[in-house]
Amino acid sequence: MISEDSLSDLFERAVRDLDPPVTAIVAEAARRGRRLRKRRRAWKALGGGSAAALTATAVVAGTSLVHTQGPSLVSAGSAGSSASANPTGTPVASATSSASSSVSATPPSASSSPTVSSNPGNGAMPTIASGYQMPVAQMLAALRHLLPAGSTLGYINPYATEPGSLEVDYIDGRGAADIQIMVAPTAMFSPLSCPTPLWKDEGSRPQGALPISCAMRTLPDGSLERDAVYYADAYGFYAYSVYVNRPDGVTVDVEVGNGILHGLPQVTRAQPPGSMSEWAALAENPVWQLKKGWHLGS
Amino acid sequence: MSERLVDAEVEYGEFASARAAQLFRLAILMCGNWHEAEDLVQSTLASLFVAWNRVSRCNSMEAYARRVLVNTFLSQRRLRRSGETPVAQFADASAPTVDQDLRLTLVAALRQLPPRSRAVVVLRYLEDHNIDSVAELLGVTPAAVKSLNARGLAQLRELLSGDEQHLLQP
Repeated sequence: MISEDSLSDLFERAVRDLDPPVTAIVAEAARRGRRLRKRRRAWKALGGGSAAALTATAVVAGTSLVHTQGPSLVSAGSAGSSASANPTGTPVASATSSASSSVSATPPSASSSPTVSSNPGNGAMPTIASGYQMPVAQMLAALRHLLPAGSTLGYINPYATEPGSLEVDYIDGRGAADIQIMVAPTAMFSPLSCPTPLWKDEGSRPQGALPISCAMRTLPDGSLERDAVYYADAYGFYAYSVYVNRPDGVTVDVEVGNGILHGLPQVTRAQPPGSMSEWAALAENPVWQLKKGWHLGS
Repeated sequence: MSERLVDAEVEYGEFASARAAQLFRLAILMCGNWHEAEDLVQSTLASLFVAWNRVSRCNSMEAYARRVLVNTFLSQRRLRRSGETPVAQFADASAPTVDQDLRLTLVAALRQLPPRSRAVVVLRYLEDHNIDSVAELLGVTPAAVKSLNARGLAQLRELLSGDEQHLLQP
């Protein structure tokens, strides 16, 4: 029988020669920490001092859906599908009038009416619930539903995945790619904009990589969208980034990288899979919901 | 960024750089694979980063960091058991070494222990924590730790019994 002293010795021998990449781990942890801090501050502001703002968002959300996408989730889905079917989007100038008209269709009194959030009459459209987050299983099902045939999902980062937030490898046979999706109230995020000047690479961009870019546009349903190709980090990892601020008060954030982030970035391909317009269509899809009881096929 | 924030980040960086390797060794025996251990350490250090101004005044930052790591590991196990986050398994990605066989054998055995028992056994035998210290780290009673340790130890001995002679060779 192995004694307790021998067991201590075995444990020590088993790990003594391990040489983890400490510098890179610490740098990546700081990057995650900054992101986490930003999220927590936003949540704190949202939950602690701005309950009224959330209520207003929820009410406006219900109102917008009622007036722009019809009285049922089926209608909401079809509105999103039309955006998806037209992934290049509509130029800001021409889309603004569409957005404006949907907003102006909202009766001023509705934005302060508490009955809007309960959406009486159709019973099929629960609205954003304070603190409610899209369950991980539902996010995975939605993602699988939207991915091209033949592609699969691999490793799910357990430490970056929680309700409302998903990080998973996308497998299409041409190099695994990291996908991160966040679905949260818009009030959590900073206002969308493209930086001027644009970002600068921190490391070498792989040969054949897409150039850094950033563009804002407004969709026919009034969503504000930012499509960007990010800078490369020290490892040459970069990503497509799509933010969609929807009129229902939900923001969908999708990032798709040119490699994986298993602990540290590993570049697997020159470009992230798919195209910006395909990932934009995925982000625009109404499957991403902060509504209790909302499921695929609803 | 303010000077105070820069100082705090420098201080954090120094602490994290000094402790990351030890946290990683703890993590790899708990998680059982290299990538997940990296993720666990990063997650732990990211939490410390966020809370640095508050926690840097602790008497023992090292103990605090260990506690965050163990709690993160255990909370993730609970989530995974609920079926919400299936995770593919990865092989040990470290370079082959003379102790790699031992590590693989030990990790394979540890993975068969329930997460809480595994955490207790690793803390006890890798880091030489006593029962009270482990109880404090896990937020359970010393009696519970004794019980988890006894069961974990018995199970580990049984699992390693076939490899005992080979493993105990220096």
